[in-house]
Amino acid sequence: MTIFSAVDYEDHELLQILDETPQEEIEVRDLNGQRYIACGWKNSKKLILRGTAGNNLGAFAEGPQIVVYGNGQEGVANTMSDGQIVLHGRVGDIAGYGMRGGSLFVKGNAGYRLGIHMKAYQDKNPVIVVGSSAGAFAGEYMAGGTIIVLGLDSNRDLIGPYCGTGMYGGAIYLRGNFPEHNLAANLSQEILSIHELSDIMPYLEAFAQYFEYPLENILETPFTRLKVLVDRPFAHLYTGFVS
Amino acid sequence: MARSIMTPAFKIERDEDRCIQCGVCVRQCANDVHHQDEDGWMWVDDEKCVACQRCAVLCPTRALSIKEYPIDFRSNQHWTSPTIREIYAQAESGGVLLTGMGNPRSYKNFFDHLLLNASQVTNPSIDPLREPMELTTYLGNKSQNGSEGEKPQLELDIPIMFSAMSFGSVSINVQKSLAAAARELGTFWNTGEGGLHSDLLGYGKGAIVQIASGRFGVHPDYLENSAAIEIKIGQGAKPGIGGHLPGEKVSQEVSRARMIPAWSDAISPAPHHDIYSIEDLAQLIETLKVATRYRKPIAVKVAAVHNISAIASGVVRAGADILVIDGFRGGTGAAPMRIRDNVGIPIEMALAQVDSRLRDEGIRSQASLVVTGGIRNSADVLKSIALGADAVYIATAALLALGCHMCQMCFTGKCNWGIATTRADLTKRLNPIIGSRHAINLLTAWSHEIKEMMGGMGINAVESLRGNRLMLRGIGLTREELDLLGVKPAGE
Repeated sequence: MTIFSAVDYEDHELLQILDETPQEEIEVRDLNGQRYIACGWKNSKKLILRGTAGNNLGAFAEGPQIVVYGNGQEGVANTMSDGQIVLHGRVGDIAGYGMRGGSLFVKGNAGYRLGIHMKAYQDKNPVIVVGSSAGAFAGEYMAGGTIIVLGLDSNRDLIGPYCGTGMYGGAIYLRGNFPEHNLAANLSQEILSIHELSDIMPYLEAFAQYFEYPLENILETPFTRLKVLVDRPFAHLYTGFVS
Repeated sequence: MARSIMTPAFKIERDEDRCIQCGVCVRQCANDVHHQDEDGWMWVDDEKCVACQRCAVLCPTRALSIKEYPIDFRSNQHWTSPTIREIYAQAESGGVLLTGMGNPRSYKNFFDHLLLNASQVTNPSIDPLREPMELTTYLGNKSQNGSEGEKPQLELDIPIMFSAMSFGSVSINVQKSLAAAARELGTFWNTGEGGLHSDLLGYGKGAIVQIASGRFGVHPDYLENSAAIEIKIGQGAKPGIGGHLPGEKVSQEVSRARMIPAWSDAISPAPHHDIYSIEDLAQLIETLKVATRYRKPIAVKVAAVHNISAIASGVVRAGADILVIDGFRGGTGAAPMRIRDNVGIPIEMALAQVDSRLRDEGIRSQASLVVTGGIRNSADVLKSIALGADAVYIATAALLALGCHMCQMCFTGKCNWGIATTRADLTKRLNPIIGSRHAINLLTAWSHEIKEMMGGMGINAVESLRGNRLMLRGIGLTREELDLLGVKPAGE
């Protein structure tokens, strides 16, 4: 394991050092918003980041295992193919945009546009677990994968407006109460018993373990699963004719 | 059910004296227009005909011809026949009108109002058969910025590339034809936003790979196995809206390349939701440069819209190495008709304005300028370069070379020419070896023509023509149009 401080480095100096470090485990301290960390990485390196991770952390990456002791800014896990990001703080906007695989665990809140257009394919099944709440447009255009919002230690609304707008695949799990008027029209709601949580239980267990939160506290409040009512909501929008 | 108020668009005429009842037309028509009964009689269902001409072309005795259906609404300059038919279609379906290919309407075509120059006496013309002519073009950021080394460039043997057409909107054999042709011609093809099919992995280094708002099939290997990366913001046929590949076209093969479940819709949101500003675009460009270690030029494609020159300035300042502008004539596999026909501006105007603006701001060398959207022939290419383009993209012209008959029904997935389809039985009608040969022939012919026209002007390197608007004169243009294009009127 290599440990160094990022305090003196600009974005690109830090990226170059990370690139040139051969060790599989790297710890970076005093991170102060440097951007583009692990962008496009195709490896299974383990990164421990202490401080604030800048925009597009892990974007286009496939495989790295990243733990952030601090907050993430915009675009965390943007178009990520695989790998894991565990964030002991909150994330900004557009986390997990177009995410195609891997997982993102956030202890606190997520900003606007969480998990827009996530998609799943075969064994690729992206997952986002947010400990507290998510802002507007969560799961917009969602095509596959799983978003879980737990509402722990939060006095904000669980989800912001326009949740699931244009969604056409995947599932959103909300724990506890949420403002129903913030949901898009095309969604079905199912309240799940503890026995019906098997699909997401591994993620809840992982969340409890990563953030040392008692699993039984998470499970004592019921979950609602949101899915699309009509599989192909846009199928009849258009008409072709011989012009 | 009541009969539709919509009459057929086309009428099929069969010359019974010539027809030998062989049934080729029946087997060739994916729209089920032709039928043969058990007695051998041939029947047609005009309503299903899209005038793709497949049956007429393949009929061994030339017994078939397809005409516009002879129903004449009462003459009316305002309520024309297409206008009336569009209303019937919407009245019966309630749907947004969908269409394919580029804007067919009769807007002024500025290419047809521009004339090229030639040398007489004072400056000898050059014979390309005798003297070498240089068409090699480099695309990328050419500014030298202190300590930074040379920026990555695309090297083109001809200033023409194949524009983005995704696997899914077109068949795999179209991509195979164009990928092979691009390699042979020393130019590049573009994946569109449908990912890269595994059969084409060997052609990745000759491909410009696209990233659009759907992020389909995007992963580190896709970015790495490429010549350049193009961020698609917009498309000339449908500026401002997203894309929608209907589930019917998402076959198993398409699903593998796009990495989405088969038969599901593939929706591309209208904007990239990680790009709401020039600063956001700069960030995505930088992210892709970081992800590919600064080894690849990053292109940004935008549609030609009203304030294109300010947008172009922003895109170049955001770090794009190549700026692609798609004019309002640009083709599409599927677009809402109202948008295709009414949104955007002509590429000639956008190009002239953008080139001037980037020069005025002293940033023209930071990015190459590629234009597309309705380039029909080598003269359009040359006029584009003289107006300021470094290179052009073609797509519709390339599809015509592959056999497209411009029926504009690409969105149905039932293309009888094996082009705009993902059906295996239709796809195999396009032989990629013949397809690539036709595409190579087309661009070989164009490059000969370009050399001849350049030689006529006394210019032996395409470099010397770029932005050289003195080589153009306008005809039939207003003073304002001439000013916007930056060209003098013929005679001046």
